[in-house]
Amino acid sequence: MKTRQPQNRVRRPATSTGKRVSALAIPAWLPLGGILLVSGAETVRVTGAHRELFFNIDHFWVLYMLLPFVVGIIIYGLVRRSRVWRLGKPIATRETLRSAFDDLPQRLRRVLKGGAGTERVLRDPYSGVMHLCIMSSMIVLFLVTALLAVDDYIPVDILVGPRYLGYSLVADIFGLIGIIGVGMAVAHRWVRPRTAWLPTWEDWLILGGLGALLITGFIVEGLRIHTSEINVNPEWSYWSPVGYVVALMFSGVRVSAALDIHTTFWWIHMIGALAWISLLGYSKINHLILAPANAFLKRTSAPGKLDMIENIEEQEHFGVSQLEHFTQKQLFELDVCVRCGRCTDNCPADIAGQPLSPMHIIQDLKSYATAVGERKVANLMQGNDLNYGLDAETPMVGGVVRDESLWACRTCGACVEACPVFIEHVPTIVDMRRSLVMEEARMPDTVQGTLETLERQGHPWRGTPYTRESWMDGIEVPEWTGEQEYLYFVGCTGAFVDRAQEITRSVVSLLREADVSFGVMAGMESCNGDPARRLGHEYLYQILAEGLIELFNEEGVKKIITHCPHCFNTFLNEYPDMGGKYEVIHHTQLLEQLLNDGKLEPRGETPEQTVTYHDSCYLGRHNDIFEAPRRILEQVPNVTLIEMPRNREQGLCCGAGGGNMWMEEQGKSRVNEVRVEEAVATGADSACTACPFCIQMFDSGIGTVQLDVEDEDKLKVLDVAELLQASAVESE
Amino acid sequence: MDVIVCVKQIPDPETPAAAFKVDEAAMRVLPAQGISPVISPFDAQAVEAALRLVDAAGSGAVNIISLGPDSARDAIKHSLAMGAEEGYHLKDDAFDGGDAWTTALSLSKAIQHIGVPDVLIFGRQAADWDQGAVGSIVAELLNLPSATVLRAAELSDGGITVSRVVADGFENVELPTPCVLTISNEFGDPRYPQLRQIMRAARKQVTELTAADLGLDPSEVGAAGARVQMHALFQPTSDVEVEIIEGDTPDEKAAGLVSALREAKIL
Repeated sequence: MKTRQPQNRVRRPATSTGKRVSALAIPAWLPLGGILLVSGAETVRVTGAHRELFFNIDHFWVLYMLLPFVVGIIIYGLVRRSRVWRLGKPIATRETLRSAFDDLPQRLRRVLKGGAGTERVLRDPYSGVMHLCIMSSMIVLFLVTALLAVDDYIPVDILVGPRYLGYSLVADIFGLIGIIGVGMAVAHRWVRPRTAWLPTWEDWLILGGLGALLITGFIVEGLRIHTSEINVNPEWSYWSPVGYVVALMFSGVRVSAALDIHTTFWWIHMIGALAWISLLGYSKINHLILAPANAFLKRTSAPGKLDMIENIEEQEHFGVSQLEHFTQKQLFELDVCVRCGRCTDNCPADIAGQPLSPMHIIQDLKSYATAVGERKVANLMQGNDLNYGLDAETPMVGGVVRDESLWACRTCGACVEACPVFIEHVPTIVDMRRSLVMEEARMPDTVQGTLETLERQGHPWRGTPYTRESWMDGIEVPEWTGEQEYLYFVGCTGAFVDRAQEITRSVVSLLREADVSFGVMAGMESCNGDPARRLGHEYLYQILAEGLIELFNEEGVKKIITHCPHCFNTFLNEYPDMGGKYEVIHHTQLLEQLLNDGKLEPRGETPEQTVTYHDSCYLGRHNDIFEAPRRILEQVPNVTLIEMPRNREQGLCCGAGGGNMWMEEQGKSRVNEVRVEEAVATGADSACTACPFCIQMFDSGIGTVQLDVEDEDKLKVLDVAELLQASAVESE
Repeated sequence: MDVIVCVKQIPDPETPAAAFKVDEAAMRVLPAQGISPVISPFDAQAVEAALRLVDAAGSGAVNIISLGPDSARDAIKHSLAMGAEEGYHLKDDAFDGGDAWTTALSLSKAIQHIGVPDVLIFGRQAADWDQGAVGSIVAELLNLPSATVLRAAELSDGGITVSRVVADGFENVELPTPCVLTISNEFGDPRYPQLRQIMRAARKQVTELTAADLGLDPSEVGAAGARVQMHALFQPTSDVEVEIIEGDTPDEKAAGLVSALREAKIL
């Protein structure tokens, strides 16, 4: 006679993903192994222990009949959604498939670590543990059920005696862990809600359903123990501790009544489980299929890179103003979102109380894709025009997603970095900006002014009193001849903004000190197009980029030094799409190399000081350069480096990114002030960074944050190069 | 309602002072390196005003005329990108070296050549020489009523109601059509062209007209017909003297400032 603990048998369809199986490798084996070992030692008293499959249940075949039905319901739900995804531009072109194949190991690693290993979920201990509890419980209970089924249908009995008891213990423990996880998730929503978090009926249905399933499972188990095991083989039931406790609670109930209750709960449990699993096709629990899929689909290029609009002059629309302008992957991503809120929690605009929440952008688009996307699908299927009958709908850009939210984005990538299901919010936001700027020409005045200045003067600094040569007054700067190894690309900010001119001069002085072969183009430079691109004006970007690439090629440029992370990112990651391929090095990388090679020696006496390093988004998060600037600072005498709580991948934007350098901020506070407060809170004497925009944002933030502080006690803001120059170059 | 707007391409007024140079001998402004000339900002506002009037009327077109060298074509293209229909470029070596009079004469002939529209609009002045004369001279030459330095212009029964910016307020005037208007910066920002319009404008042909096309003799236009003679062109030098007012308290500093200002006869 064999019995099984049936509560999780029907979870099978839900667990056929790589996510669960490989995640098992990480959290679940340890307890499993331990328990099996312990149970091995208990052989003497428990020989013959086992239980009966479908104990006390007639017509259990109904269950088998329902299974394919449930699978069908789930597939129908997913297929229906996939029709909306397929409204988008196809992603499976020959080129993308080839590139996906090239990056296969990287993509699979991401599926394993980020998808199955829930790497990013674990960054927040509370929700990490919560998620792990629920996930590991479901995996173990699935395997336990599967094992019982296998055992039942093969001639050899595996689950007998001590093995059965160990098995029963594991099942009970993970059932309990599941309940703990659900409890934590419920408490999370009541006690510790995240920013902008709105638990909905969907949350309660999923959590309530799961909790009810786990509890009814234990009730069924307890009743089975009460009615069959506890009196005959009580020592077996100690190995089902939760079931045993439940059995004790039922000890006053007559066996015949208990058997009736058992049957009722068994069916409630089973039908409930089937219904809950059907939600896989209709609710956010689909993330256990979609999240690993999205981990695979996410681009492997630098996260800050924007995709080019090819043949822009022949396009029928510019950017995204309709669902069908998105790519299939962008539409797919909307459904992957589980509304966890990590993107919004990490968004500099949201932190500063400004009108942007990446989560709400994705969620609002998702609702729109449901409401309007499905009608578009219906139009297609009925052979109508795609937008038939949809004229009166709220426009997607400007209505569903408000202009001011799109403009508040810094393109800093904190949301993308935080997203545990690998959604890429930034390209989606910029695509809608593209529509605002190029399609509708609707933008804040300050953006218009910046774009006009870029068009006319080739730089974004409207009203600057300087020329591209002004910073060179009084110092010797080698002009580019085509013979030197490096072109030092000064950039617009390094030339037109007085505070940034000091950085440019420091870099030149360090390069000369180290005898680097370099030259500058000064008056021949123009903007590389980054501000235009981030502001949504792809066409202007392409014109500026084409011009500069032509110049670089004519001048025989091979290697480029930049001190601006935005120039750096554009040259390194975006120019190759336009045919401009150069070796690009950021000044912090080069300076670190020069220090290592002994070409620069910090020898001068810099005063004793503590320094905190602020990561520029386009250097750090977007290009993974976190350590070079820190290692430079560590080599400057008398400098002690201290970190702000948000650093490296989690660094907070200064507020200038995404063209916000040239916009008026709207909202409760300014991003730069939030960041300066964080820097001041470290107690550091100076804040160092490696981006001319961050420097300006810090300087202006200090003006308000430290309004009442004496000038000499205010936080000093320096580029890494300036601090190094003070010790490595003798003043002339 | 048909409107013609006359526009001018000028050196970018945002050119930093350090990049602004003149050739004193030739009495010419030298183009600044790397800074493209632009449509005069008042003229862009004039195009905006024209587009709004035609929009409000529900029919008609805005056409553009510009007199100048090759680069004037960009001002026309910019206006077309904003939404204008046709562009006319008065391009002839004979026009070189002209003044407000010869420009107005040439423009008025061009306007008659194309057909006098319901409304003729100019910027209040070109933002390079800032004379503000051409619009009014054209009105005289064509014998049309005019209203200058406008902050608003709207259609009214059988005419145009405008609001002029005057020294101590605003003056609201009604004009019959056809008439001449000049638009001031108070009118508001011109629209930023949509990319689709920019591309449409790029493909459009601009009609080029010479002095001969307009029935003008070379002696009437350009330097030959000019009534203004330039005697010198130079960049004024300005000396800045800085005096820091010392004082231990803000009150003392303020008192010091007041006496310094009195000494300089500013207060």
